[in-house]
Amino acid sequence: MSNACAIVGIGQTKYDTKRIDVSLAGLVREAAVRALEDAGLTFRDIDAVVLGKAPDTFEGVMMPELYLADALGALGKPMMRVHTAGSVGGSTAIVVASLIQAGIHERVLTVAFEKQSESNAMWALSPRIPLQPTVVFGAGGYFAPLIRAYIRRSGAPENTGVLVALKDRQNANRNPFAHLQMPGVTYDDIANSPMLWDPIRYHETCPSSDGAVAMVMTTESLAKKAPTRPAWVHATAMRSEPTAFAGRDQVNPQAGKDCAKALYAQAGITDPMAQIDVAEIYVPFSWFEPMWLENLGITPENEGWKPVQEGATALGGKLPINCSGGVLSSNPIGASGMIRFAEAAMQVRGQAGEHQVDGAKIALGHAYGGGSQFFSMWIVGSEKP
Amino acid sequence: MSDAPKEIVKRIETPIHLTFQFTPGVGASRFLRGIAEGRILGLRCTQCAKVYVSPRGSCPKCGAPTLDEAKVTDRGTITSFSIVRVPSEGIDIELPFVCASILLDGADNTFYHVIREVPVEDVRMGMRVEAVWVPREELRASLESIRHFKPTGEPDAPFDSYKEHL
Amino acid sequence: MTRSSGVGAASMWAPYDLEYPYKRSVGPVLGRFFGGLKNRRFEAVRASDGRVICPPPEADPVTGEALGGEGGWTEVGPGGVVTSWSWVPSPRPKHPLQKPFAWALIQLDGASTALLHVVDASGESAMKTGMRVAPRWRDATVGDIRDVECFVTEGTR
Repeated sequence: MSNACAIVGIGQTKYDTKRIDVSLAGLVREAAVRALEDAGLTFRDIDAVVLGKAPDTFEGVMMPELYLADALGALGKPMMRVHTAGSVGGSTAIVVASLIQAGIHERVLTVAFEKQSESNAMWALSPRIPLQPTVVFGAGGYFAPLIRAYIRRSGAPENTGVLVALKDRQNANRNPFAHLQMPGVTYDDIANSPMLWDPIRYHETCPSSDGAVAMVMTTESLAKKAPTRPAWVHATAMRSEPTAFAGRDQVNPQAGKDCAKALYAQAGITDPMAQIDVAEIYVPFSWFEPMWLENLGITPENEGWKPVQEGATALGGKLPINCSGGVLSSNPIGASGMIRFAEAAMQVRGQAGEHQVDGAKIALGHAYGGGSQFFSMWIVGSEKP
Repeated sequence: MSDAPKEIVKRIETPIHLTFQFTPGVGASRFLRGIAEGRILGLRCTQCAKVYVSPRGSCPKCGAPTLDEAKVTDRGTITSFSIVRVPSEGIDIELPFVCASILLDGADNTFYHVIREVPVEDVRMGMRVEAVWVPREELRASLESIRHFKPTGEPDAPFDSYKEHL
Repeated sequence: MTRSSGVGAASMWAPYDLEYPYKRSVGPVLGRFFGGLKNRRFEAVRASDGRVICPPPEADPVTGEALGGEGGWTEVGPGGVVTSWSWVPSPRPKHPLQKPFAWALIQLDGASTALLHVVDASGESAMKTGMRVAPRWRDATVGDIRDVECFVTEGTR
């Protein structure tokens, strides 16, 4: 049996299109210092630092973990970097949890970031490689056909994506850190926004953001000395599969299903819809909410759109999803997964302010990356497991 | 030095130039040589017998080599698609255009290409399409030797025939 | 376009050039350093252990505390001492000088640490650890490390 692991500090930067007021070092420090303050600690109290971010080509700094070591107070300490595409924020948190659970370190600082304004994610993700037997159409061109396939297969009403986007945009208005703020946003604002990659509308997509998020994770004995209520790690899971193979279900990937199954088994969850109080799941395009509800086993296959239509995933609903506004409202790619994990922890700590779900005790954090091929998830709770 | 700075620089430009020699591998090279001759080559997995177009040389599921050539035509079925209405860097195709996932007859995997010669509103899942090649003398080892796909006019393929390829 | 892989089945290959035009926001500390270069001055910060560091980092390398606050700055150089160097006999296209030169660590006068830059010397035999050098500024400075074209033996231009 592994040791208990608790989250005792969380810090976020304001997410924005261009944080040109800070360097990469300044950006990660902003989140790190806030997480340390939340935990009542300083850099001196930290045993090791774990950094997560997406491809180096986004900022053009090779091995940023080395360049950022002094900014994160890592001198003389173990420092490492994790990379699993868009899911990296989640898998970084899971690496840190395992360092605590295995008894290797007692207090670990983890930070995930992206500073997309230093480049253009479109070309950093889609270089024109010679002799490559593929034609590239960017992230929207890649994911839009999967969404169309989902709509056809499930028979979901066509406005489901609009409903998700409206909810997430309204939630973002309650989160001071969220990048996109749309006070007074209406259903028609979303529904009448231009089609970019039909069936994906402009307001159903995520922005490009600069931002960082940090957490301090620790052991049971040190968590008891923390100034504020800790969140406890109840379960963690990661799975992956190749981008493409014959017969691959890209709409509902097997790796995601297996990951959720393993996660619930660890956490003792048999009825996720009833037992999970709030979830932060990685939804870069609105339709991924119903798709992931099915992949996560929260609803039966082809029924993920039903709770959306019923309002069950809104604040105050049966299972509120992305109360922070989600990836749809803030997307510093490398940080986006850890923001989901951190927001889940904030909910069970009662720390989520205007977007708090009353009395949340069990929360799910979820991230995915690549061509829907890397998954990382955790369940956190207000009580020690 | 206690005097205030004369100037604070906000941003600097740091271009990066990288020069590589790209080697697509033996499997992809066989496929690309076929394209340069105006034919689509599939390679069959020695273990699960699935046929891959634009093969990488090994089966992504079994890890076994894909050695045997399999007959794949330049006709197929649209399994899903998107109507691209927004420009992207590096894509110089007139908007709007349809980006479709295509399952070629004889193949077991899909790939993305452009659909033309049909109004974008008329494109459907299950629509039958065929490759439109560049002129013979312009053929080269790139999927861009296929300009686009266009409807064949055949009846749509039933959903069940391609539902395992979404 | 093809070459043998040695087992009879050849792979193709092709040149693959990538160029990314990054715009880096440098933050207040390096921003002041680059602003100093534009005005032909080297600005440095004082660390918790009393060392003077140039180029200046945002965080103390020992304690991790923020550096570069009010009163934490000092000017160093413009002359300095080469503490180590490496001769480049055949410059590459993107190198700062298109003739043989040295990459060198240069400890500017008043600084405790060294700055990596270029020394334009007549040949490898003209390079010595401990030699004194001074910057050669480019005509129109913009606030970039390349505002210093290179360092040269002190007293030359």
